[in-house]
Amino acid sequence: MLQYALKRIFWFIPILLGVATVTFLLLYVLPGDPVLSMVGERYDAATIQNLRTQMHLDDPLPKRYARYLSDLAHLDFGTSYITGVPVWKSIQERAPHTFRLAVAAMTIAVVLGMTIGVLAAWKRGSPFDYLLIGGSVVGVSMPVFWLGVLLIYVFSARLGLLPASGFGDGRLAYLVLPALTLSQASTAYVARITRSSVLDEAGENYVKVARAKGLSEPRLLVRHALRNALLPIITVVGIDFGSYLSGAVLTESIFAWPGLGRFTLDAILKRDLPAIQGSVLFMAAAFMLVNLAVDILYARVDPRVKLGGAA
Amino acid sequence: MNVGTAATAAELPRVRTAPSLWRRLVSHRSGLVGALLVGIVVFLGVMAPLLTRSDPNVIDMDNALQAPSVSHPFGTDMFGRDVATRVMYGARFSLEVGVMSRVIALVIGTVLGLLAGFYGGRTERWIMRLADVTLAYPGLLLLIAVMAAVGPSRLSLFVSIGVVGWAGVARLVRAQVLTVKEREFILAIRSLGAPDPIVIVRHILPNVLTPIIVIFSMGLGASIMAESSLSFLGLGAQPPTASWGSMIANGIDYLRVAPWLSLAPGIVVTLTVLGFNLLGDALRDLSDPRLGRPARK
Repeated sequence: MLQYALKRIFWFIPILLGVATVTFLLLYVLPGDPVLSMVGERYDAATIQNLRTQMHLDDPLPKRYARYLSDLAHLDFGTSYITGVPVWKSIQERAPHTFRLAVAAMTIAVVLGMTIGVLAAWKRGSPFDYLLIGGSVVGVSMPVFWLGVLLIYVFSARLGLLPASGFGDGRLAYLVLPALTLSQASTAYVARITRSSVLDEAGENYVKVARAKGLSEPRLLVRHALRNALLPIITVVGIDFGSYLSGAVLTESIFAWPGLGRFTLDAILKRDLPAIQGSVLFMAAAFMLVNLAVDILYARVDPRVKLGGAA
Repeated sequence: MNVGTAATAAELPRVRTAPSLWRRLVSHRSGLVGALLVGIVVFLGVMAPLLTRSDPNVIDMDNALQAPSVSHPFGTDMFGRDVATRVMYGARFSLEVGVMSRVIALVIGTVLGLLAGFYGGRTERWIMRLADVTLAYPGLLLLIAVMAAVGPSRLSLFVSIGVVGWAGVARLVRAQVLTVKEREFILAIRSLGAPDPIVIVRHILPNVLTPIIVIFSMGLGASIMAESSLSFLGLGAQPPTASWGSMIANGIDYLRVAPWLSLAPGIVVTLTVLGFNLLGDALRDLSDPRLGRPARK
């Protein structure tokens, strides 16, 4: 297990190096001058030239790349062109907010999605089942940002129950709408997966035995079928959790949530190169770590899964 | 690949499963719903200039922010433009971006997937490693970065959404090629001395075509979603072009007084993506139930 984890982590290095290189080249190739977005267009040429030299923007590409990599190796993500704050510090500030939002969203997705899925499996073939499953198919197809707008419209503009946006010093009321919005696609997906895997398991012999013993249907589904249906559910939740860390861009923008997603979006729009490079790299690393955690969790839940082989 | 092999590929018999697939689709309930939704959106998008009376971009401040009525089924926006007309032109825009970007993703993904699956070894390792990097990269962020830098335009939407989507296609095609290339007829053709390009284009490609068609339909929904997300952030369609994403974004400030501005395009986007998802799922079920789902963003 440990060996497997180490092997996987070892593979992170080339992939992260790839991501770092792609980001670096992308930002190098693409037009737009960070110095201009820093100082505005009214500064004199000498100031601009000074800054360019200071930021090593005029160095040849290989030299800049080498400097970039050596900084990275020292875990130095550089300093934001715009705010002057070290990027690593900003990431440390923002990441917990995104993490909090992601955990809340994942909790909603798991609880709500599995409940819907088991209910639908229990009442399979009934109008209730069609309604739940139909609803989840629609849910997968709904753009995140539109659901956010819809929730703001209903709960904030119409009913006045919840705040429309902001962080509110971490108060729970401010977390509800963003978390619901972010969880939407996963909730729908978890519901579908839960239903189909529970139904798959329900056809197995051990469930038939339990049913013959006289166990009630809900108990049967939850205690026996669901337990063995956990594997695919964990996969979905794990993949989604990883993508929350980056996929929160839209949700965080709609709700003015001070997380990593919005940080990255702002950085991109202002061409703040160090901030973009740092946050993208951080997200890719987080994504891969979560995937690794999921794979390890896999082996824990299902002893039949053997880790190793092709990494 | 040279022109000669492309010509021989064109002489191939059409995919034999196509007509029966269509007939089976009609009896597949959710697939039929999906096909209908897609059909309606395509119809509205293509026919938009004939179905609407007004220009989607003509400003009429006297009629700004009117509630839905008979003459304006979805009301009018802050510039007095008819929302229903703009929703139809939005369909045109989204479909155009969706189809073009999918074609790009499919061409790149298929070519690289074929090469990786057929040649294996170092070629395969490099191509699949590149796919890993692409998939590890946060998709929407990559799109945002590209769009912010090259400037939003129709072409940059096509290319960026297309390029981001190649990796999933390549993985699927490679997996299919791996099973096809071990079959006896391929061995037979190769032992007859057929050159690699002929084997790949004439004999392997036709046998991996069905999953490619399926993934095309499934990816269309995702491409349209990506386009509207970018437009929502202001990085896709630029004013005054009508696009669902930007219409929703522009309507946010008017949620209390004119909710239809955001609600109408949102409903249409959802139904469109729903249609492509249902259709894609149905095509997958009907063509090969063993086919995996493509990676989600």
